Order: sequence, then C-alpha cells, then structure tokens
Amino acid sequence: MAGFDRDNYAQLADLGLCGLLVAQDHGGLGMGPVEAMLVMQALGAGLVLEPLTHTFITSSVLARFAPSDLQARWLPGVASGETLAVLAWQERSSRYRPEKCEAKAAPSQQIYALTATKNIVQAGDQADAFIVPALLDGALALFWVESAASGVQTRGYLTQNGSRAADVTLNQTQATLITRDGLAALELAIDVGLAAACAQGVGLMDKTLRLTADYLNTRKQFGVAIGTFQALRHRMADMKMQLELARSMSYYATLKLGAPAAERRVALARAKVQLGQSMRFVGQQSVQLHGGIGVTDEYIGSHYFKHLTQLELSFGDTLHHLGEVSNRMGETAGVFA
Amino acid sequence: MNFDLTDEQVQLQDAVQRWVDKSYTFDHYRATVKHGGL
Repeated sequence: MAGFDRDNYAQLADLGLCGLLVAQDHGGLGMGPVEAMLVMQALGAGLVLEPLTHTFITSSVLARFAPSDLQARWLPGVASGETLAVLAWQERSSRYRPEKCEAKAAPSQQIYALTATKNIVQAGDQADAFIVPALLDGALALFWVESAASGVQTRGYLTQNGSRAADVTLNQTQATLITRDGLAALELAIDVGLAAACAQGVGLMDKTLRLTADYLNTRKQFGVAIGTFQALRHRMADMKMQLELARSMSYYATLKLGAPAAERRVALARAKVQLGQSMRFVGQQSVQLHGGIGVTDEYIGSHYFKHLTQLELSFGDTLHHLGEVSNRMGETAGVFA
Repeated sequence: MNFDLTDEQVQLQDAVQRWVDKSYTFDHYRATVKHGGL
C-alpha cells in the first residue's frame, strides 16, 4: 500500500526493533529510552516511513498501564512485529489537547462498545490494532481496538512526507479496556511519541546538513564551488547551531521520559519547542541554499524538507508546546530548588 | 554528565544504520511512497 510496506516493518521486527522496549518476558529486548532515541535518529536519517514510533508508544503504554494478563496477550505480538498497534488519539476539534475527546465508550459486560472518529492515524488502514482514548462514565479511559472488529471503518491517504495515515471511524465497536487512568496513559503515549519525534528530527537534520554541505561543495558559480562564499558558510553555521541545540533537547527529552508526570510533560514540551524551531529553520535554509533543486521530487533533499515540515506538526506543533511550557511555568525555573 | 554510549548501544546504532544504508535506499523509499515497496 502506498506509503507503507509491511515487509519493511517485518524487517524492523527482524532487527529486534519492534520489541526494543518490550520486556524480555514478553519476547522483547527490554531496552530503554536511550536505545529508542538512537534507533529513531537512524530511522529519521533514513527517511523510514513505517511508524516504529507507535510501536514504542504501544510498548510503553501497555507495560505501564495494562493489566498483566493483557500485557501477556498483546506484547509478544507487538514485539515480533506480527501486531502493529498505533495510537488513534486525534480528533478534528481537539487540536493537540489530549484531554479534549468526544469518543465515547459504553460498558457491556466484560467488553466495551466504542463510538469514535479519530483522524490522521498513522498507518491507520494497515494497522492490526488501535489504542484509542474515549470517555467512559465522563472520564478519559484508554482502549485496545482490533482493526478487524465490526464497526471499524478506515479511510487511508498519503500524508505530506509520503507516509500513510487514515481517518478511523468506530461504530459500536468492541473494545478492551487498557486503563481507566486514560489521561495519564495518553499523556505518556504522547510524550513517548514526542521523544521519538525529537530523535527522528535530529537524524533528519543531521542528514540535511550533510546533503547541503555536499551540494555547496559541488555546485559551481563564477568558476568556484558556492561553498566558498562566506555568506553561505554563515548560513551553514547557523543551521549547525540549530541542529546542536535540538540534539541537546532531544537528549533532555529522552532522559526525562522516566521522570514524574508533571516534570516529564514540561520537559517534553520544551524539547518539542526547540525541535520545532530547529526543524523549520534547517529545512527551510536547506531549500534556500539549494535553490530550485531543493524542492525537486527526484532529489533526496526535498524529502528531508517534507519530513521535517510534517514532524513539526506531529504530537503537537511548536506553538502548542510553547503554550504548554507557558502554562506549566512555576514560581522559579526549578534550577536551584 | 556522561553522554558516552555503551558498547551495546553503539552496536544497536550501527546495526540500524547499516540496515538503512543497505535496505532503505532512496529508490526503495520512493517505491514505498508510490506503491508500498519495490
């Protein structure tokens, strides 16, 4: 299917990556956020379209919030790559706010019936299961929904960077409860996604810089490589600084993933603000330094630009997270406390 | 603060980078965007 290849995903599983964050008891490698960051950097640099980010989200959320019998039922399939489960959280009117949710769940004995419309679900028409937030008795809860269940409808499409997403509609669809502590679980899911996006962004920017430097050293004007022009070298230096600021914040995001929720949330928002600014700057400067070739589909650099642009909007854009940082500002910066 | 990677982490990083270089080429990527693989 355009924008997604199950065979590529199976190869990620063969490398052990689908089980990277899954405990060894469930067939995974039992590794942590630093390893996930290294993997996402490399996948970002390689423009990999298959949404391993969501596998990391699924592994983290199930391990922390699902009852142990459900972990034993689902995690081995996630780790082996047999089950691709993606987070289906965004709704048209919710913007990026996790607490805003119109999806509803009605209990019926052991199982629940979900009615929901979720937008821009990564690989939504290719996934085997969804992790879906919905209101249960007025409070946010998190559910596991199999894509083969009755009442599931998907409408797939390509997104700007060439990856695949779908709008997913659930109509009285049978679902299993992961946790009634839905907001906390969804916030963790988003933060794991943010950390992955930050790492991916670093990989993308790193490669963008190298591509741009190669171009400046190859392209000639007035008989010399344009990389000899000081004005262009200054732009490269500015891009490099943005990359390094972002890299530091990606490390920060990764290292804060295990912190208490309040501390973790603000740290991840800070990281995404820096990453958003850096990705925009590096992507756009790269296009300017290349000229027309920078937006040509046949040239690899244009795809880095598209990935960077889309990533800025993923899991909350820069302005959303600037608002988060602002809302969570305390009496002190917390440096000396 | 220590940002050095362990040997295991370096191996993981190398393995993923090798896979990207070998199997996820630009041609393969473009084919995936168009119709889901070569």
